[in-house]
Amino acid sequence: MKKLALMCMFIVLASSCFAIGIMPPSLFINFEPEKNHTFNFLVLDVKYDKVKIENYVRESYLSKYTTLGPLEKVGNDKATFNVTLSLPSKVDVPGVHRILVGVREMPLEEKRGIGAFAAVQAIIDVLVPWSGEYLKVDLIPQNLAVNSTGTFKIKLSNWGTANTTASLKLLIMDLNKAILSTMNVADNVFIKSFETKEFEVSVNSTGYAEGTYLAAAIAKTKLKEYSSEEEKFMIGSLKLKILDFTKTVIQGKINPFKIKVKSYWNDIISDVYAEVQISKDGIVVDTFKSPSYEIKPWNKLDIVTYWDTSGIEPGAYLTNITVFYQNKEEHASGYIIVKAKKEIPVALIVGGFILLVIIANIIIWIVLLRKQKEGEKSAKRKTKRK
Amino acid sequence: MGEISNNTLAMLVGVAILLTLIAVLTPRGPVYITGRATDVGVAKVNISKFVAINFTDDIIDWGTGYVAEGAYNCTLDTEGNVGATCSGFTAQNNGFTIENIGNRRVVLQLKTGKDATEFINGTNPVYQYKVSEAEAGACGGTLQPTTYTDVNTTDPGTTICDNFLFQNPKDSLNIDVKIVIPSDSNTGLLTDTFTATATEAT
Repeated sequence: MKKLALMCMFIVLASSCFAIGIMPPSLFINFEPEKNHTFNFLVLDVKYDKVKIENYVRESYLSKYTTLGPLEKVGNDKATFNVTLSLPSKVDVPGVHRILVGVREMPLEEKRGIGAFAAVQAIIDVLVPWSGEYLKVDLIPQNLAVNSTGTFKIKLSNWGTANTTASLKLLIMDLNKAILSTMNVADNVFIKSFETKEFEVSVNSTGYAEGTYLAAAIAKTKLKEYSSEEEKFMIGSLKLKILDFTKTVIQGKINPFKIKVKSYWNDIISDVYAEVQISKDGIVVDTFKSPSYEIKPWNKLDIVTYWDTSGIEPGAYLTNITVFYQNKEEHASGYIIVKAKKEIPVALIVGGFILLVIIANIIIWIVLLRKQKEGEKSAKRKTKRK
Repeated sequence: MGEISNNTLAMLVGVAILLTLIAVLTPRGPVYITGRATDVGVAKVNISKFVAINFTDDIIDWGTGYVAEGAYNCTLDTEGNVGATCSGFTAQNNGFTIENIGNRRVVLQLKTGKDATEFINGTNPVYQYKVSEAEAGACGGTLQPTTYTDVNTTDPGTTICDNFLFQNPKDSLNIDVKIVIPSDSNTGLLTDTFTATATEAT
């Protein structure tokens, strides 16, 4: 048994809104042996009256080559600092090496309770080239309207130490990765080490059905083929329709409220949810929201939410339904009938019970009477035999 | 007021002529000849990229209380629940709310300074959190954990959203907290901090 004196206090930090920002948020440099770089950062939105700040470099593959400069206050809510990166003569592991430089808020003094503080980090990516040939292909597709033309962007970067020549293609695929179209983008593209070239490709959606597709850019050299990530893009627009919804509910209870929707799209639509507004005579009586659902391609789905009709009078109510999905909305409206709860009167229950008791008694009485008569008859028979 | 003399008038006319000549001959002087003209202007503005986050709701205040006599523990959360075995604590309907106020999508990581034992102590203490979208669609990637999960004290913390968007009105997330205080917990003033770290999503 514990004493009442065991008390915990969660009286927390004084009211405040903590914020912090950093600029620039990311930098990208190519590795050059023994080269020194100095990066300047600006820290924004510092609430000096509420917090103190400290800067740091997170430990990583190249962090040992950095030197962190001190924070210097600028104005009422800003600070600056710099980071010097002294690159070594050689780095063994090729690729993009990330250095994270950050600033975090700290409490001015130890206070009671659970507090929340923010930190922001800037990225310094250092590209260490691969020995020989290495191409990186990036594709940025564009969603297209039906029977229209759009532009896909391709970025070709040489992350190797050797210059090379490549041809570039764009593939359009269905979601099963079956190739629907191959477009030749460029032939004999000469690209130097550390160089990046950008290409724009016109893609026409004529002849394609509405839906989600995949695209990939392929760069081919004499030695190897390099592919971008397979990127999704859409032709047409996502379609989802409200087919039906609950039209009657019972007063004074928590009723399930179903909204039947159908997807007219060839891919999964996630984050589908509904908001329902119930009103009468222009006055909103209640609003409620459903959880999020995922609907499979071309499938029907019941979005289920619940309406508590406690305190709601029986009658017809206007229902406005909005189904949200992927930054789109689908609307439906109609009337819902709130039916009065069917309650059996107490007198009827008591009367019915009494009637049941009487019937049971009559049955028992009849059975007993019959048994008594049969007993008397058998007694008479025995007497006659004697 | 007396009459203006001819000399004064002549001087004023001279000054006026001089000012007119200056205005006409000075290419970028303070006075211009007015008239209708058309030109093509090019407005240039350079918008700097930056990462910034803001705790718009950074307080969790259950007040002062204790585990009821005879009870093993008491459960509190930021969804308005105060366990039946808790005495004196004030219900909290909000956890922390964090907003992306920069102009870049960010990866958001969350850590605490203490775990359940360090923070609350006693027999089987619980110190958990979960995240949700304060504005639908604020996390354009994976949002986790969406059910109460033990806090993480390891730097830089758990990635709670790998694509935290910045466009209004879908740029804020909620962090709810749940604690279970055993009857033999630490007493007095308990303190800890949640630190949310934002890094540009690349």
